[in-house]
Amino acid sequence: MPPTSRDAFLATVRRSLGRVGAARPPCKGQPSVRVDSEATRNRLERGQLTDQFEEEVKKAHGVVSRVSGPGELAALLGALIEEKGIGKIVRWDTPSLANLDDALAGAGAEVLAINPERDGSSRSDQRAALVEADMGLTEVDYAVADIGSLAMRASGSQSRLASVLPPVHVAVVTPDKIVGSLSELLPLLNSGDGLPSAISLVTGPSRTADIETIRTVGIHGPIELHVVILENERN
Amino acid sequence: MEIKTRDFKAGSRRAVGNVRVQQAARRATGNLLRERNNAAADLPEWEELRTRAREIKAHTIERLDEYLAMFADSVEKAGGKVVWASTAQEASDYIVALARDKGVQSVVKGKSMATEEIDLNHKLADVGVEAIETDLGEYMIQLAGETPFHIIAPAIHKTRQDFGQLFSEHLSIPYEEDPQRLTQIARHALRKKFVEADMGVTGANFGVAETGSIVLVENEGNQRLSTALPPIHVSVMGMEKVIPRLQDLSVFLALLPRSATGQKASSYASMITGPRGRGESDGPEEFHMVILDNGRSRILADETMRESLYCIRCAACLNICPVYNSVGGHAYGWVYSGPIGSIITPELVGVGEAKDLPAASTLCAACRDVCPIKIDIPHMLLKLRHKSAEPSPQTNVSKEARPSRMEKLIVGAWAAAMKSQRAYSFTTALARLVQRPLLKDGYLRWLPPFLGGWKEHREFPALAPRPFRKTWNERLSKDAPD
Repeated sequence: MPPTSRDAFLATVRRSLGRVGAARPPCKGQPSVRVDSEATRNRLERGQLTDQFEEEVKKAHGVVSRVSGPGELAALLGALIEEKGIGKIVRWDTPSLANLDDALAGAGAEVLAINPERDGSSRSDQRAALVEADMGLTEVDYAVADIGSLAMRASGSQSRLASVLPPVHVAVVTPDKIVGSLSELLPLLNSGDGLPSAISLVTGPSRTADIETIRTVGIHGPIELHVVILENERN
Repeated sequence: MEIKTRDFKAGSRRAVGNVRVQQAARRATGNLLRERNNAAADLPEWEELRTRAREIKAHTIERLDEYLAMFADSVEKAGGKVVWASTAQEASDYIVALARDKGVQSVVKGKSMATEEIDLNHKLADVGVEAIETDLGEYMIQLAGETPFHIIAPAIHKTRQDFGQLFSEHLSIPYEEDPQRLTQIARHALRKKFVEADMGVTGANFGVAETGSIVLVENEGNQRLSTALPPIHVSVMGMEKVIPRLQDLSVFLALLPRSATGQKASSYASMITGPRGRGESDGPEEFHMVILDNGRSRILADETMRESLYCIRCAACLNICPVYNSVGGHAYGWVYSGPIGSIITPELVGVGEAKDLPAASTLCAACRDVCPIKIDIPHMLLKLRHKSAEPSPQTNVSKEARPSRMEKLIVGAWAAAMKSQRAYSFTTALARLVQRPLLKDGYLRWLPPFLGGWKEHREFPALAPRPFRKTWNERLSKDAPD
């Protein structure tokens, strides 16, 4: 059976609503999403956003570390590579992660930046690398303190698959990316014209409770989520 | 999915007799409900959020035609193709034809009740396309050849031993029953399917009108993989899932995971807007958005039933329902079970086909209290009971469904006796006299045969020797200050 036409489909909906034929005047105002107690609560907690974020990521079974400066970050990643026996890393194609390449290679890992517009590797090579990788290394666009979530937009340099295919996902978060709640996050995601093809909100590792409601991890996405909070270098 | 709603009574009798399934299901619903209660109690703005969510849903459903048009325009602007399916058949025909056109051999599926409605897996199998369920619970159900037992936790009636045995048989591996190891086994088996798949099919928890995004809420990551790895992505969404703005998600993403599993946030919430954009590193080349009516416009036309379209499928009403917890998910005979199933199934498949569903309720209203959108389910159950006794070709209710003279007489007499205090006092006084010879250990040991099914599974306690009203009045006069 061929699909219904848009006009016929919407006419049925209109008829069901008891509005025959005539178009309605444009809709005035939409219901508010403002929830006062939430706003108050978050204002109180604004000062401690990073602490709150750290606590919530942990509650969601993510591993949190805090480092001061790229040196400490590189050392932490090096230790992780050694501890987990990580051979292959895929990462976002961003300048600050590129700065880590030498250190990661020094720790014995093979690193590939995912970006189809980069010379040197084809889209299918990159796909193969994503599938085989032991670790995905990304940054975030935003982080949400009160639920411990990461928000990542898809783009040429920000691969969606890098944060979901490998068994270990490491996300580097700087404190300036942290917002209080979803109601603060969503307008930020929706600025400019149109959304990217995907925005992923990530809270903890991949999990399921489909077997006897017992929580197990890593059913399809990462078995481990490491969030590294990169603070300013102390003088 | 085949409609077996007429078998409700037989199905519930079978389920009530199956202690193993009942125990497994009750443990699961109990856990989910406890987590939900803790999460709701932890959030000071819980009630405010419920009110907001209801307002947004009411607003949107009243202007559904406008928001659907806006949603479709936005999807097209983002490079997606919109398909309008009035019936399940139209939806599955489109997807099957698309699969054949593109030479699709294998499909990976994210968990979706809408695709259960259109029976997509079987329709694809009929033309030789393999469709694999990738949600762990759904995968298990597919291997077992069953249908989902629960809206969000489809395999809660299965034990770890059941998983172990089926995995061992189907994947030719040694038996294993440790849940974490079973999870890893499924990961490896399904990862291969994801990488090879030519098409990913998902549902949609929400469709955002202003941006043309679908929102997928999950814990496993299979929705993320289904929407990022295969070259074609098809989403099937019930038409009532549209919401106006991205900002509205701050309300719904607070309510849905907490109501479903007690999580503050699900592991993943993906906002998918069209196919892979220019220069983006991954994602599908094509995005097809199938908007499904399949009986929803009938619900929309009934002002009492309309608010059942506010549902966000969290399944909290299943977990709390004494009937669901006794008869389980399969007795309901179609895609949706529990209280929400009892109100939308009859409307979607025809009231005459499913008249036992709204009848199977204690009207305790726990479902309404737990519902994040405050949907008045008990009210609609009553309305459906009414509909199921009114013969009509539209609802498929036959003439035989009309109540007998005797039933009408009894109900009429009951109503008369309950309406005035005098009539009530007189009737109960009379009943006290009549019951005397029938009493045994405080229960009635005989009831008139015309009560039929009513007395079959019930024990009727005797009327108290003295009306409570009398005792109460005496106390009041005694305690009153002089």
